[in-house]
Amino acid sequence: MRTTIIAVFLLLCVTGSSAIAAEKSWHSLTPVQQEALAPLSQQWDKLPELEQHDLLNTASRFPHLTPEQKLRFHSRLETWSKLTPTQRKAAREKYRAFKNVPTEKQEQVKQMVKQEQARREQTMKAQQAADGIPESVRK
Amino acid sequence: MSTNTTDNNRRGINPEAVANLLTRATQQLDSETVTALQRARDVALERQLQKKPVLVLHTGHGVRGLIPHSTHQWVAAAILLVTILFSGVNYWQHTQEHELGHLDAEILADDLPLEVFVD
Repeated sequence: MRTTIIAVFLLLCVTGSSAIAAEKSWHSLTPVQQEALAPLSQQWDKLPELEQHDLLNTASRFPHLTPEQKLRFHSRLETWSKLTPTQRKAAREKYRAFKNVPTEKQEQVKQMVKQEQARREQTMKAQQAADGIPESVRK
Repeated sequence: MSTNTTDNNRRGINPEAVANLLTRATQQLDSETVTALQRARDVALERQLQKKPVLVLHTGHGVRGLIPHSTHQWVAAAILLVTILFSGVNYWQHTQEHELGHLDAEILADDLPLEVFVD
């Protein structure tokens, strides 16, 4: 009887832990997962199991995104994967808070961010021109 | 005749008169019929007495049946409980992770740059 109980508990522990995290090599991923996580293909096998698990969860939404959103997703994925769990948690909280703000305010913030980005680009271009970097090389 | 019956119904049948009639009729029965009736009554009463305790036991068993008696039953109940709890926790965890994955994907695909949300 005791053996049966131990066996059941071990089984539960094994199935539970496998549900939480199971290391997956890049080649074992499905084509859809590989497409979503393409920017991480080189470092994927070296990522910790939990990190892989989280990213796979995130990647599950990729097929439902628009082409424009997919581009943004890919361009930010590497930066996101390098964040610490605390930074990600803080980012999620900020994002949730932002989504709770009225739409008008959200649009105002978006406008401000766009203006700031344009200003930064102009400053960078001016700086590069002052440094004598040819326009063809400038980003 | 039909008028008489209607009158009787209106007045109602006297139960005492019926009982007296029946008593008188049974007094006229031969001993063999009386014995047969007596036996049938005894059998019916015996059956009724047998059913009562069975019903009481059944009701008691319904409630007690849920409580484990032996060690084996207790262990089985404990395993069942742990399995249910474990499945519940697992399901909750899975849902949380799924929601978090959705949120992360939203942040990554949003038209606002990542720097706005990341310190």
